[in-house]
Amino acid sequence: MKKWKIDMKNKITICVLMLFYAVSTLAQVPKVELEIVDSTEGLPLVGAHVCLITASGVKKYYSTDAKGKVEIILFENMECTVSYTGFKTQEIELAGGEKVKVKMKPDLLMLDQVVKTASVEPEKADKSIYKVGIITSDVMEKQGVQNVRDALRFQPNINLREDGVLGSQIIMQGLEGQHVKFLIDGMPIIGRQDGNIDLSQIDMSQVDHIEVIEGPMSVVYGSNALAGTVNIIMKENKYYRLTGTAQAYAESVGQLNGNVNVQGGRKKSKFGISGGYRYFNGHDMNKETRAMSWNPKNQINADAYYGLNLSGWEAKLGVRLSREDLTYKGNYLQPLRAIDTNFLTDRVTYYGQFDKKFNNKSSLTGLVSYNTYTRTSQEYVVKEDLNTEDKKGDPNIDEFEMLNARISYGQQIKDWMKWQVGYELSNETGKGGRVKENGGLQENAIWSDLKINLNSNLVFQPGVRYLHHNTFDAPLIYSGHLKFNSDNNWNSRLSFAKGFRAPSMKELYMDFVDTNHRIFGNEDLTPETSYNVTLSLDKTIDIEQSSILKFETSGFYNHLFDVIELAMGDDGISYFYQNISQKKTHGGTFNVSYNNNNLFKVNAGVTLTGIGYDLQNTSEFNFRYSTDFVAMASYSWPTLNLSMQLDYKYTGKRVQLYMNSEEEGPTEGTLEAYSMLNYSATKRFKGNRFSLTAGVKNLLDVNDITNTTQGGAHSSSSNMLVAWGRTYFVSLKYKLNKI
Amino acid sequence: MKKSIFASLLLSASLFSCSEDDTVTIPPLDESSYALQVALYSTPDVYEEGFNHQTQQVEQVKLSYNRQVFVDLDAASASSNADTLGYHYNDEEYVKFDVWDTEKDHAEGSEGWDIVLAYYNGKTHDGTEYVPYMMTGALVNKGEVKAIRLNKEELEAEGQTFVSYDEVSYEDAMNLTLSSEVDAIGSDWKVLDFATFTYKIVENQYYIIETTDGVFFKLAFTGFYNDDLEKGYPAFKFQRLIAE
Repeated sequence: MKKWKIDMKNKITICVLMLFYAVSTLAQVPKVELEIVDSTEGLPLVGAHVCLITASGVKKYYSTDAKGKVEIILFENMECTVSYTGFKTQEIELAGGEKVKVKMKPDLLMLDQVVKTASVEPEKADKSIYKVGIITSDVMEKQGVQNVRDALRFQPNINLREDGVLGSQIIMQGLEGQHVKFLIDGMPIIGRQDGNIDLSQIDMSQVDHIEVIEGPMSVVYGSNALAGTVNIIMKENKYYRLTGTAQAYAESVGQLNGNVNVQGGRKKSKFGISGGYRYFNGHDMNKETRAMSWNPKNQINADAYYGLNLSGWEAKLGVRLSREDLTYKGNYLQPLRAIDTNFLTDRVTYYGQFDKKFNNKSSLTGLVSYNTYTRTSQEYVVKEDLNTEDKKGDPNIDEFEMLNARISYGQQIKDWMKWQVGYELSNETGKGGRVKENGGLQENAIWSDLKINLNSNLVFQPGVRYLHHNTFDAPLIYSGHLKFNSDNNWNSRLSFAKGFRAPSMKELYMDFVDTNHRIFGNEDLTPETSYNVTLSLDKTIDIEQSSILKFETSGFYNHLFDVIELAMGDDGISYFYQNISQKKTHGGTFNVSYNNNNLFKVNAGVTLTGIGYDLQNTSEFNFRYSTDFVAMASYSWPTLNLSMQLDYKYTGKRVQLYMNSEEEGPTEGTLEAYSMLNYSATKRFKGNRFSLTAGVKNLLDVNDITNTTQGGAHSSSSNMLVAWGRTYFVSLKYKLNKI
Repeated sequence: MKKSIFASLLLSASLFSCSEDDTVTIPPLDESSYALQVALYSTPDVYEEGFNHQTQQVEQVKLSYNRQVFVDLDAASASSNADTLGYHYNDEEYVKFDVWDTEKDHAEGSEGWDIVLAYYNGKTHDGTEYVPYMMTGALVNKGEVKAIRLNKEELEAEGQTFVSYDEVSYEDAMNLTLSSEVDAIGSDWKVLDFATFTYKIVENQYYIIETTDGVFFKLAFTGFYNDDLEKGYPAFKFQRLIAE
């Protein structure tokens, strides 16, 4: 360890010497000094990004210092873009030997936020044919977000469910987690338990932003992308020779997190390495029993990547590892004696990707990822009276692997027409104590879409995906998107899409029999399919130069066919997965937001969701409705480097229909309403190098709610877990950038 | 309530730790509380041909429960806890109990036995009707013994009052209509906790039993595991109800 430090020191010295050398040799070359300030108060913007593009398309990156200044060496007249989070990106022409002051205007609508989902080249959010919801790292920092669950907590149209063992699950547009696609930088996340990805297992410390798209994206992303897609975009250094962050987080429930990240870039290569550890001691609401509502768990994650740019081909190789160690505490079966179950969840992803932009306005991108997911459960006999812990029986190991490869090409054929085409291969294998031997699932798909600017206000994008699957006849997937922008700030998007979800490994090959269970997969399952229509309309009103008012309304409609469910067999004991019912959901949101200079923001929205149950398969849908409400307010004092944020969400009462028995018919169960309120304040100091966030999560102290529907697999009572009560948190982050 | 279960468990645990036998001698009063734990497994292991879903093959599968134990509650006296008699699967006297089959729903057992703890083919409701299902629980001596289950949640849902195990009296028992079904006690005094695949004892539930001697007992299950937390060791407490 010590040796490494010396090496590092030497390297830094060498780097500094090289820098001096480089500066002295280039002293005669024309220079430009840029000073970047915000337009309203004239305050310097520290760490603003400057990107130079030479005529041949080579990019160079710079960043402003503590005075908001940066010196740039010019070789020729170059195009220059200046960007800073929360401000509109500016393009300027630079000529030699001058001082330029760039006044940045606040980007009140986040139009300049670049999104990556479903596009070969990253594009600005307002240019995307999809309505992309963005959760920025800035907002996540202010909210004290630690995992994907925290990040999605206050999103409209998204509800969360908790399970003591399976973790946090999502419900989107009234549809459960198996209908939602989760991606990290466009690569699918595997490892679903009961159809769901455990959102609390995905670390947020290295995330740049999250893109949330509602409605099917099956044309581009295939199976599961039916209710929506959540694409987690990781941070990637472009501007700094060396940049690093270290962060510590503590929450009064007994959660301690720490993480470190270092990224660097030199000439044509870049690298990043990060690691984190999260410790949770468990939380119990009912102290009478030994079992805990929230089981203790430790999570660890590590990432590394290396990137290279060779004549415009950008390539990147990386590995991502994570492990969760959770112990389910059993109740006493004898005095002071209990059986605990330990669950180890390991995820490993190796990936490689490349991008290339060609001069003829076309680009190519490729992505290969190999993912493994292993879940090992082992029982222990715990004798607290003797202070012993002995293994009981053999561990049960479930292993899943997936190889995913995507290659896509986009070309601006005409000024008014852009074409994208892609190929995707995914190969999934799985084995384990409860999975029948099988030949794996293999899917080959080609997809294409065409973006047509019908006129300056109207864009139309049809798309189609053809796929071949080794176990079932796959449907043809298609979609049509229409986007309208008026000259007086009216925007509208309309989409019609077909979605699908392939039967999972477990649904096909499950084989789980013991004295009380007989659950079988079904190899004859066909994919679930759906039709979705989504419409959105928004209008922005400029109140004065730097404040706006925005009204947004949207509606959605989903009709699912052949929904896969567990149904009782003829013998009355066994359960089989079957394509049984249809399901419909529809709803809408209305949202108003006000933004004054990005310093004062208020947002309020209401969501109505209707879920239609066709339990007796008669094509008659009994809709049950629920109303949710979200609100947010934030205020910043730029001179104090202080900001505050208040988030509120009311999750209305859910009425759920279920079948108790054939004779009784559908029965109504309810989930009680609850409110979630968080407050936090963030102070940055020492030239933005330190940021301290402190706050209260779940101010109203919600733990669980009364649930009279059939509960989750691991809920022992008729209550459903929501959160672990009111907690206080503090987070300290240190950031170091070397230009 | 919980404390008393623990106390009796502790009592039974301490009693069983010093004796291999099912019958334990204690100096009780006639209406004192008795605790008993019986083993539904003993050596040698018994294998039956069956489909092993772990290996996906038809093979010899080890039976988890290979022993049945007959209990005479009336025998509990000043000198004895209760009379028990256990048969191993290989014993000639072992009965493959089946509540659907009138040939196999009764047994000779020990003299004057009241209940038998066994692995048996019972009845489960599939939503429309009763179907056969292998289960582990207690059957009563057919035609000789009657019993009824008292469950707090069920009774209160029907608008009736539930008198707890500790407070139930002889008069309360006399007012009940007892069932003479063989599986009047059955196996639903325990439920499987799906999270850990361990059995939990149903709380606030007990049984009133009228024995071969016409005596009323209250009986509640307290456990299903031995000291090493192996399943198949039902534990219960029982107490004679006497007219005041």
